[in-house]
Amino acid sequence: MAMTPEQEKAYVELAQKGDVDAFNMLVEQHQRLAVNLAARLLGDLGLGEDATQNAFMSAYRGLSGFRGGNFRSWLLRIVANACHDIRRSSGRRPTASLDDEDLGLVAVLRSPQESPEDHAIRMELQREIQRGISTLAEDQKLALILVDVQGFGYQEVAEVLNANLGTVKSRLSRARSALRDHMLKRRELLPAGLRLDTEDG
Amino acid sequence: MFGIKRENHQRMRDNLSAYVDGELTLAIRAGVEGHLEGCAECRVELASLRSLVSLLHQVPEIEPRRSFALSAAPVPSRPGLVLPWALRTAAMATGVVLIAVFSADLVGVLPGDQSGIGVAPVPTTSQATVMLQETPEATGLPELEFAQRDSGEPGLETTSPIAEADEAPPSMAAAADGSTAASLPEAGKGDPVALPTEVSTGQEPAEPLPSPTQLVQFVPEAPLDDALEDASNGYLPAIEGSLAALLAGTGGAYLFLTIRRRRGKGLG
Repeated sequence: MAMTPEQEKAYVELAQKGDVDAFNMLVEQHQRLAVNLAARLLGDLGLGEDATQNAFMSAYRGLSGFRGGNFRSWLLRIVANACHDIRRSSGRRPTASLDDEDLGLVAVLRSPQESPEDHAIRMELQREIQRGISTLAEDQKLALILVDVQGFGYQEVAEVLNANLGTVKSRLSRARSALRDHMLKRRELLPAGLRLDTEDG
Repeated sequence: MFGIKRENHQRMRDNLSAYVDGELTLAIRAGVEGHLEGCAECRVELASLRSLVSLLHQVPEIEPRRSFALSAAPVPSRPGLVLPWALRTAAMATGVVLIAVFSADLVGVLPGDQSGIGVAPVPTTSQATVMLQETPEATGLPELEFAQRDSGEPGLETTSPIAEADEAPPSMAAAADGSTAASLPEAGKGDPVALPTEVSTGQEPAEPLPSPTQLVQFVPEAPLDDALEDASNGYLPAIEGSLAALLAGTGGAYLFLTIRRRRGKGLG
């Protein structure tokens, strides 16, 4: 159940006065997006959940610093910072090794007409995409996840990144080029008819 | 020349990427579309970008496995404080134990100290009496000095032999240096055989316990002395070493975690 901007503003104001229940309404509203972003940024579902929890706690403590505007962008910037913090403290390299614990990142439902082999290939494709995302620079990764996975517009991404539109455009373009190069190394996983090659013929 | 070309190429790539998303202004969009009509390479690039974007749109959404709502209780200032707090407590407890052990060692409560003998190895009254009777010839000079001193202080005789025995291990005190003897100017000219004779006779039922100094007198040559030396050479240093190592390890771990936590706090 989506929250209207007016409702969100009212909950934010209540939360700023210390109302935890009001803040939890905001948590319920944004936690799915937050954990998706965090898990993709970190390439690890468990660490993503930790980062999300840390981000919500930081957001609650820092609510007095929110001066209005887009609450979701403000919150996602905190999530991105929490991911950065967790990566540093955990010492985890942003490599692309995905174990069974990370299957939540690549799980795809098997359609009735899909063979087990095709489903396994699709799973491996998702795993390869996540590996490719994990190899990107942090700012590129953030832009790519927000735009291509979460469907954000450039303006809101610019707010999250605290950058201008030109920077968003450039980072996203570079992220896409790098990810495309990564995926071309596993072109056998790509769906039939999908052309990632940049060379004609 | 090539740098300008490369820069223009990158700019066109950026524009094509934004073109896919519909994020270009009308003017730039018109320019890109005009370029695409005459550039096959950019048309391939555009098709490739669209394929990639469609692939990424199929990335499954993660279902949250739990709620991230905060409890009504005060929010902890920092996640992961449990371990440092436990380490801090452990370090404090270890420090207290270590100080207690060293303090006890200094005042001579523990066995093996050169200024005192321990409680545990002190024999019972009957054992001491037997020892006394079996070793009447144990009359070395240091022992004599202590025996003579103590025999001149009647108040000591009413106290527990164990408590008194804690005061002075004759052999160790005398063997260590002259400081112990020098601190006892009244020590000196007693008859070493007089006390053993008194104890061994046991003629006074009202006073069943031998004087502590009589026990002390025969400790040096008795098997008890070997036990004390063993304790001094192996048991106590081992305890102290272990506690010191534990304290150092705990403190080091706490310091490491604290530094790492503060370093992480400064980021983001």
